[in-house]
Amino acid sequence: MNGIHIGLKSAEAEDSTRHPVTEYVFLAAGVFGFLLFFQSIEGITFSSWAVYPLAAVMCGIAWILSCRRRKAFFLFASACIAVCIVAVFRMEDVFRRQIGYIINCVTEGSAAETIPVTETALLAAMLLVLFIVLSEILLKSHEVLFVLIMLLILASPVMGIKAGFGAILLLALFLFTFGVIQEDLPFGVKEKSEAIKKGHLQARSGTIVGVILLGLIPVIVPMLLVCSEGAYHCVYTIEGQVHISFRQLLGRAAEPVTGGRISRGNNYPTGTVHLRLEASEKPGETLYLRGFSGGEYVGGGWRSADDDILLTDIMIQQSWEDMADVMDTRFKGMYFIMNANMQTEHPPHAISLKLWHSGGEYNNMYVPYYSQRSRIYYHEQLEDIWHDYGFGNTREGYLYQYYEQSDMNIDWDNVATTFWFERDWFMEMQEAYMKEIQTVYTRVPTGILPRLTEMCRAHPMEGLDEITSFILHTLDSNAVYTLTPGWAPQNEDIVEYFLFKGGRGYCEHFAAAATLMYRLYGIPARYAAGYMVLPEDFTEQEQGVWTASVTDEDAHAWTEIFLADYGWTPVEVTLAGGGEISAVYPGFDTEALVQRGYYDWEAEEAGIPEEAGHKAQGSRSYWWEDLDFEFVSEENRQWFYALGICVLYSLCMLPFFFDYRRLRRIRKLEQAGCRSVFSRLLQMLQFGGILKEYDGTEEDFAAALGQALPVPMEDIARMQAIVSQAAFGIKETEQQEEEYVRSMYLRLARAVYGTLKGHKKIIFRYWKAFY
Amino acid sequence: MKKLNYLFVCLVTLYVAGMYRYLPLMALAVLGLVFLAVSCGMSHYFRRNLSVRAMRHSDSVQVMTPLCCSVEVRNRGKLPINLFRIRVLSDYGPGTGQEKKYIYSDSECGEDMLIFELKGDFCGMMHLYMDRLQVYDYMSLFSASKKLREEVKIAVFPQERALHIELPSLCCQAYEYPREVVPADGAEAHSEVRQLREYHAEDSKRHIHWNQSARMERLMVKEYEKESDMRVSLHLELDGMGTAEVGRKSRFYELLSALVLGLLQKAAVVNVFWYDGQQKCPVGKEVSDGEQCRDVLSALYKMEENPGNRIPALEIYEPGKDLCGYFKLDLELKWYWEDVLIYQFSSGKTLYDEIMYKTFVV
Repeated sequence: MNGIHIGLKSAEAEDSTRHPVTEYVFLAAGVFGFLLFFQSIEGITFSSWAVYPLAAVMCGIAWILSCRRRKAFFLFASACIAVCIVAVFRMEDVFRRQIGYIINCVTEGSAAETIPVTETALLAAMLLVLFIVLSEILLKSHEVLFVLIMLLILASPVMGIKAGFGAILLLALFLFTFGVIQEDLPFGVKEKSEAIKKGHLQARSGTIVGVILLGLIPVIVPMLLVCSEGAYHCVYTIEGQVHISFRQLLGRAAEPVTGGRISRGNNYPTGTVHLRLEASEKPGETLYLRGFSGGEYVGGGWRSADDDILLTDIMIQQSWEDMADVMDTRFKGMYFIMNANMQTEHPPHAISLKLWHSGGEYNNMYVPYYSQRSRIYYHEQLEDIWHDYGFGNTREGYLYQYYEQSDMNIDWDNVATTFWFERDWFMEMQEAYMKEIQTVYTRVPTGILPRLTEMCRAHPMEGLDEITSFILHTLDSNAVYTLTPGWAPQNEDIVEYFLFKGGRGYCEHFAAAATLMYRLYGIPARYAAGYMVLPEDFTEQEQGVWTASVTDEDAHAWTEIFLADYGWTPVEVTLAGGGEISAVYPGFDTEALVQRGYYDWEAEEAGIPEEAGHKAQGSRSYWWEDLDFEFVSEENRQWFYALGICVLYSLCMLPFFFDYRRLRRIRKLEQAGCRSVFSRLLQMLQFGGILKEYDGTEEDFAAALGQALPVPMEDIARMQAIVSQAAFGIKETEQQEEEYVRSMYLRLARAVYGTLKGHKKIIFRYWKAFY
Repeated sequence: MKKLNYLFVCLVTLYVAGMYRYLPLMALAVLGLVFLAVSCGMSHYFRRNLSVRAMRHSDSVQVMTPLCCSVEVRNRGKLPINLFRIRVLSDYGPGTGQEKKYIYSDSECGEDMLIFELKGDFCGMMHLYMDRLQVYDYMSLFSASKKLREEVKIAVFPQERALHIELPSLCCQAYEYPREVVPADGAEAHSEVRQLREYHAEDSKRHIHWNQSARMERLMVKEYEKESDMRVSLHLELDGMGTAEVGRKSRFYELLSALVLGLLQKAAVVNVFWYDGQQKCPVGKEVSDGEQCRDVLSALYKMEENPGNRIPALEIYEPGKDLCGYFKLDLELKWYWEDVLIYQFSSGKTLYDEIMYKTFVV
């Protein structure tokens, strides 16, 4: 302290100007936003005709009382609360049932039917109005409501509640305007400061902010409607970069695919090498390397399929206890061995495949289909090559021999007599296994998949091909492939959300949905995860072997079904690239099915629930998409639409702009000197075609102008004299004289305007801005 | 900080909207970000249109008494300004410790007046510098500032209190009618009583008219005719004034004022003078009332502020005027008659009591 005290007088007394009517409008916007938000919870509805008018009236009364008669407000609030309490006691059952149902809708996700909750909505509206008025008008505390509303808005998509534009924008209007109205001092400046503030200015500022927002909304919303994908893509790009960087920093990018958890978010591959493959020859078909097989579906993920238990059961049933040690090995290589023992002129050729894990850990192995593990393999010549790739110990890794699907041709009768014993055992094994899996791998937790179950129940299918077709059709109709489908709400099963709401996903979602649908139709199926390697990924080495690097971009998930004579067989259900099927099981006739019209099913015919009968986001259609703009490419079309909207908006705003410009020029003229005003007057006369040959210095100027326009000649002469004095005289013009010239200008401008016709009037007023 | 919080909320909203593919939420986030840009522009627009000017650049006030300081605020824009702040630096001159304070206010379109109160604890020349104007947007997210060059000088004078002094005749000079006015046994014996009035706290108890007080049942004091033609001289010893701390100088000014006003109760004129180092001669001023006493104080304040400058209000003192000696007061608050110490005033809080309640018989 230096002995000087600076202080300000306390704020002005509360008056009615602090609360303009716009405050009520913004208050009502907040209440209506909340109610719309409430109404957007799926599974509930209420009578809008009862709730919204009540909320508006309540809001009005509470606002007036809180601004003018605070004691009366508290009486009113007490009365409202009393009414609420009485209502709750008298209709306890109704409220209990409705609130329980609302909580259920929020926590459990989508409900099968819609229940009216008007009573609860009325109660909520009353309490909401009182709370908001109390908080904003009486306590003048905006922070609590701001935090609550933002949390509500941000948490709503997590809970599967997606309110519309109306609710969110009304709440935004409320948040911003009251943020300004309640704005006091900037954060952290209470110390060493004094403030004098007029309350009504804050209310006016709030109104201005509200107007600005209302002006911005018509620009932003249409632009987002058109460019939504671009906006999402921006967010995903940033998240992807962050995600990839973090994974690489934490060293998790090299972790191989192991689990059966179905991702609820986006997939950002880093391009990190997970596996190195070395094949004895170039594969002719897509190579599926299975690292995980899903057994039981537990909602959002799969438990690992445990064939050991299954085989133990079979062993006990078949009394094969003496084969306990080799049963697992023999079963897993059963179809490879059978195929290898076929008696044909051209015996199938097995491919040797060696796999190395880049992380160096071999807890989980990646197994090709129709394969048998071989323990004897070491290629001396490749050691240097692999060493260069970063594999320290080339003796690591493991070897499989496998047949491609097209090389599988098992004929149980076409084996050497020496192999009959083995064949018979394999046949019995296959029979017993197929019997077991009919129970184990057709289980579906129908409780958490009500809509999927209902859809399959409503569409009975016969035969594997028909079922597969229906599954592919359903996936094609309901979903689009993307690595960035966004996040799924926490209260919904990911498969249900993917199929019936989100409509976007990648292999994990497609495979999980297809597997569950197969099971619902009684076809034993498993969810498989691992890597998919295309033949073109292999490159030939000098030593004559073919090598491939498998990255996390090759990670994949698919469905596997059990086929007699093949065993577990991959079914490619991920419809990447416009619904084309890249791989199906042996015997599946795609062309025949197309000819039979299975792919032409309509959503209604298929009985797919209404909300599922569209490709959400990915195939959203707008009326303008029907228009044929051939001169704009598909990828630039959204920008073209955005530009169009901007141009349209600008055109709409153009009159306001010109009017603003006109007023600005006139105001400038009011501050200009008399000579400038006179010069502008001459320009105006020129434009109006009056006294074109005059330059204002002529002696008969006043007389001529007096004749041309209905303005007294004496007044014009006086004006001319003042301007002459200002231009050539010694004495400075006085303020009154300046004012006179300006007033004369306006009189003459009105007169000139009166003489003009048609478009010249518009040019005179808005383009030239003379008047 | 608030700006960062706001931006963080917008980005989180944008992120959640993108992740859940929630278009209305995306609209909210974009609206928030666009509004952020609008707010930034608004703060600059406001700054361009707002100007602040002190209504008076000099003023005076008594110590510990509030002074209303008016600032003209002119908003040439079309929008009201919800919040702006003026940084005010205040001090009692160089080296006296500058304090910074912010004044927040708002402004309608057009001209407006901002009035704030000012109070000084010390006597002296107070300086207020309004050096920075900062204008905020409607949500106080952004601010734009511009420099101000407004300075207000406020002379803080002591409270008008008179020291109670009983003067002997040798201290005074009568020009026309020299006579003894102060007898040895008290003032009332030879002075003419002009009137009786009610007793005030600062009055000497010696002047209470006990008989009249008893009659009227309230304390009455006698007011004497002033010896209008008497004059005394007061020499101020200002050595060390430049380096003295504010409180010390303030006490000096306070005592000086009380002393001059006290002497003026006994004499018509007090010649206040001091030695001016620049002019190499004594300078001073004749003081015959409170207003002139303030002039002397003002001159001292100005001299303190600008030691090299000549103060026009002062005149060169003629030593011949004080024929019979002079009083002297120095910064140590020592009061002398010639070189004889009359009294040394305390430099603490008791100075007030000494001025108010003590009577000095010289």
